[in-house]
Order: sequence, then structure tokens, then C-alpha cells
Amino acid sequence: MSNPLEILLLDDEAIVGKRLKPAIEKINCNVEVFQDPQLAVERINEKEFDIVVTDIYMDDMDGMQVLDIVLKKSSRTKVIMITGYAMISLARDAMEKGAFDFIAKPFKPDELRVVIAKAAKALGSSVDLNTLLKKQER
Amino acid sequence: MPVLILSSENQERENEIAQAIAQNLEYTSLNHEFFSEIAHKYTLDSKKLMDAMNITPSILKRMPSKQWYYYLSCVEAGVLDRLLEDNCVCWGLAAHLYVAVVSHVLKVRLIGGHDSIPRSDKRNMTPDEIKKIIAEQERSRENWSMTAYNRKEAHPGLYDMVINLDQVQTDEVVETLSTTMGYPRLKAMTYSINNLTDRALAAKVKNVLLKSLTDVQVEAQNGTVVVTTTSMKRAKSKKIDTIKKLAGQVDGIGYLEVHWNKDMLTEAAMSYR
Amino acid sequence: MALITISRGSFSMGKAVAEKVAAKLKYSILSRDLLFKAGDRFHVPQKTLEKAIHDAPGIFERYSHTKKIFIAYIRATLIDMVAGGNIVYYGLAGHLLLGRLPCVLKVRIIANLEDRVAGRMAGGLSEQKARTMILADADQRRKWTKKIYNADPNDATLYDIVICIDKFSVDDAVDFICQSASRKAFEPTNDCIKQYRDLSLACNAKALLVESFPDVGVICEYGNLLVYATEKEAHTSKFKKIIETFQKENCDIYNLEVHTGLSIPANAV
Repeated sequence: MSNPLEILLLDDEAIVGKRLKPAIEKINCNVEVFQDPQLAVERINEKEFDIVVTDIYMDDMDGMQVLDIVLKKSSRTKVIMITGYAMISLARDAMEKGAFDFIAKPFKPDELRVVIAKAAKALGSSVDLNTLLKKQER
Repeated sequence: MPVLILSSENQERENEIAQAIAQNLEYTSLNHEFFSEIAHKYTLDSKKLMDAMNITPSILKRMPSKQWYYYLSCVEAGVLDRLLEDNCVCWGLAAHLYVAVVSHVLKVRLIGGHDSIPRSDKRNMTPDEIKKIIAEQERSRENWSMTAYNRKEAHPGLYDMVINLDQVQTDEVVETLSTTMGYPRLKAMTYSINNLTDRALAAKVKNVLLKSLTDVQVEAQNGTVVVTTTSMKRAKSKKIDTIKKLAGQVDGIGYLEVHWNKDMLTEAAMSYR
Repeated sequence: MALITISRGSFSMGKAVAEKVAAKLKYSILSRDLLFKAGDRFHVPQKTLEKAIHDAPGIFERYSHTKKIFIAYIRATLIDMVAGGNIVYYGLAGHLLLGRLPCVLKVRIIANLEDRVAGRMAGGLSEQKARTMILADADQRRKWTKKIYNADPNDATLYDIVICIDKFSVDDAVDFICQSASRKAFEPTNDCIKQYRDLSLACNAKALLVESFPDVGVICEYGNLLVYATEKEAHTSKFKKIIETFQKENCDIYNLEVHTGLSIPANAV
């Protein structure tokens, strides 16, 4: 089994982190959850994450700024944007700036896990979704 | 998996450009050849299917409205289902009218070039006659697109880009569009794939319903399907039950909602009897 | 003498696109300067010219020909200002004023209404006011184009490319335009320069005649200037004087003919 993926999850709504953290940990990932974008950025400057999952609309700093900061720090990090206010222009802007993927809320944890698996593949790593799905079927 | 949808009155150059782009980018082609597959899949008369794509409903032309809408829904469902599959260049299937705004779909209209009248026919025509025929063709296409999808095919607002072929060569257009398809903005993402999946789901449900019903509009979001229908009050529960039963056969529906509106006109007409 | 005209609705990012295209191609940019210049040259206030090129003719103007006169002034000035080429013009009606010239890349930038309303609201207007202003502006443009040129600004066939800006970035649009401008069809040729000179002569002749003879038509082909007027107009001393002076002052005119009693050709200025 490959090393666990290091993931930072940023959303100013506590419930999002609370719900998604265990869901992502099930696929062999270490997840650090942040609600405050400033604190998240401080952590991003300290540590190189494999994947950053960030909300777009937050009070102090928006997800597009976080995307810029992450990619400036490490171009190999895959950034997944999540938002409850999805618009086509915003989605296209995010992709142009270098986001790995863009997901509209609400979404099922499985959807995010599939995107994380794709990001892992792009990073040359792997995430075993099949084992999880089999476990869920049982 | 970006998708390029082309629309043009000038089928000859559209074909040439679309095929060259598909070859350039190693994308699959989805064009008029797909009609035979649709006819086979939905057991339709191929000739009638082609007619439905060109004429508006008319009893005289043996194309009743109900049949016409059903045939169009077969094309829509078939094409949308295929667009979900792969990198694709799609033309000649009216997809620009029913594929709504999806961020990884680029919709381009090609205008000008030369007109679509065969050279052999043109030899015996005056410039005024040619103009008249072109204007008639344009009117007929506009009438078709308005009746079918309530959209004017020639309106630039329907497209991401309109290119006039009068002053550019085919290979220049191919180069421009091939480059454009590589733009990161057009990269498929979970959000846009879900949008297209919802659109395809709505088309499938509409297709199943239009086989036996009329007056149904279908929308889908995140797997939730909303069917809006109209009928007389006394037929309300029967129609809703039928919709639920028929739509229930379609895979992929998370939740189904049926919104019913009273058919005021028929009710009023009946009350005067 | 490469020329690019960029037509756009208000708050459609057309100005930003035009400025970036000009910077990228190292072209000059032209918009409101045209009205300053035309105002100076023909002694008409800039505001009056702006109104003439923006608002649709009112009921009385349809008979007083004021719009026709001012548009002839603007057109003659524009033709002279773009003489050197390598210009991006993003003022009003460029695609119509320069439309008949070859080598002019005619671009239209469109944007969805909601984004345009949002753009206007950023200036401090309420949503309703912003929407009303944008729709009223578009309506004026539509009426103006219909009345003056019998065309619809939404008719894509008036342009070489139409770009929906909310589906691309400004930079993408700039790339398309620059790429298109470099196409062979838009390279200045000798024929193109000749046609430009002809149009310049026709527009300048019309600008001199229009105030007294608003219905004259002028065509120039290979330096042959043809003026279409009524018998009555052509026999006035004022008409003759204007024509004679114009011919004397323009050595590019190979031959000048006045046609009377003939219908004015569709391509006349």
C-alpha cells in the first residue's frame, strides 16, 4: 500500500469538515481540517500537502486566493474547489487558474473520494476505492 | 473530455472543418451518421427521423406534433448520452439547441463561406433568385428551431463563438478551434460533468414520457428530476401516476417530483359545452 | 493598413479587450478621439456628434437629416484617422462605417445580460436601474442600426468573429482576435489600399455636400468619383462650387462625373 496522502480541507462551515474528514480518512488519507483561511494558509506555508480541498466563498479570504497561494508554494499540489454558489464563469476561472477539479455543493462524500482518487493518480499515487465500495456494500 | 459542438448552414464546410478537428485532436465524431443508430435504438423509421429534423409538425406532411416531439426527444436523449462518453466533435444533430451551457462544451457557429445551394442548381438562377432561396432556407431553419426548442438558431447569443468563413480558410478555422479546445477553461470537471449528466438524465426521462404523453417539461439537478405537466383537473391523478410509473423505469433518478398545472384553455372550452 | 473594429454592448468588456489587443499588436487605439476630431474639423459640438452616432433618429430628425449630416462628418473623419493603419477602433458603429473595406477585421463582443447588469451595478446603481439602462442602451443601438443601415446589430453576418466574453477570459478573446488579425485575408494588399483611397474620397466628398444636399450619393472606383444627385441639385451654383473645389484639392481623383435622374446605387456613401 502506498503512503497515505496528505490532505488539507478548508471550509468555513464546521459541519463540512466534520462530515468529510472521516469520509476521506477511510481511503487512507491524513486529513487536516481548517475553518479559518488565514490559519490554513499558515499551515500550507509550513507543509507541502498532496491535495488541498477548499471552499470558494469565505469571509476573510476566498478560495481563488488560496488556490494561488497553494500553487505558488507547490505546483504539484492538486487543488479541488468546492462551492455552494457554482457558476459556469467561476468554474472556468478556477480551471484556468490551475484548479484540479471543481465540485458544486451539495455533493456525496463518494464524489469527493472519486476526485481525490483521480488526483492521487495524477500525483503518481493510488487510492483504493474498490475496497471501500466493497466494505460499503457489505 | 471537452466537447465541441458546431452549427452551420453551410454543411459542406462544416463537415470539412469538424472532421479535420476531430482528426487533429483524436476526438470521436458524432454527426448525421448517428441518426441510423438512433433509429435502430428507438425503433424509428429512419426517413421519418430525418424528416423530423428538417420540417415542423404538419398533418399534410404526415408528421403529427406528438410524433415529431417524440422523434426529437430520441435524438436529444441519444446525443446527450453519447456526449457523456468521450472527447467529441458533434455536428449536424442540432445539439447546439438542446445542450445548455456546460463549461466543457464549446459551441461554435460557422456562418458565411458560400451558400448551401448546389453549384449545378445555381447555374440557371439569377442573383435575386439565389438570394430568395437563401432567405427562405434561413426562415425555415428559424421556424424549425423556434418550434422545437424556442431558440433562434442564428442568434449569436446561443454560442460561445461565431466565425464568419467569408475571409478565412478552412485550415485556419481548424487551427483556431483545435487550439481553443486545449484551453484549461474548457477542461471537464466534476461540476460540468454533473451538469451534462443531469441534462442527459432529463432528456432520457422526457423521451420515455413523450412516447405516450404530451405537455411535459423535464429538468434535473443532482439526480433530482422535476417533471412539469399540464392537464385537465379530472385527469390530474391519472397523469401524475403515469408519469411516476414511466419515469421510474429510467436509471439514475435520485428523486422524482411531478408538478401539475391546470389546462385552463381546455377546462374553459369544456365548461361552455 | 491593418484595421480591427471591436463592437460591443455596454459593460461587455469590449474596452478591456480592445486595449489589450492594441497593446499586444502594438496598434494605436481609437474611440472617443474620433468625435473630438470630427467636432473640430466640422465645427460641431462633440456631444451633438455623440448623440448622432448613439441615439436612434427621433421623429423630427427623420425629416431634418441632422443625423445623416453628422454621420457623414464622423465617417469622413474616421476614414482619415485610420489612414495609417494598425489601428483598433472600438467606438460605435465601426463595423458599419468601415464595413465595406477589405482587410478590416470586424469583431463583436457579447456578454450575458446578468454579467453586464452586475458590471453596471459595480458603479453604484441599483439592479433595476442598471438593467433598465443597459436594455435602453441596447434598444437605441438596435434602432439606430436599423434606421441608418437597415441592419440588426445582433446579425452575426456583419462581423468576422463574435465572441461571447462570459464564456472565455479577456485574454482568450485577445488571443483569438490577434490570431485572426494575422490571417492572410486581413493583410493589407495594394487592392485594399486602393479601395481605402476610393472610400476616403467618397466619404470626404459626401461630407462636403451633405449639409446642403443630404440625399446625394457618392461612389468612387479606381479614382473615378461618381456623384448621384437630382437635376435641380446639380444645377445649383453651390453644388458646382463644392464639386469643383473638391476636385481641385484632391489630385487622387482621376475623373469626376455627376449623374442626375438615376437611382443611387446601394453601395454609395
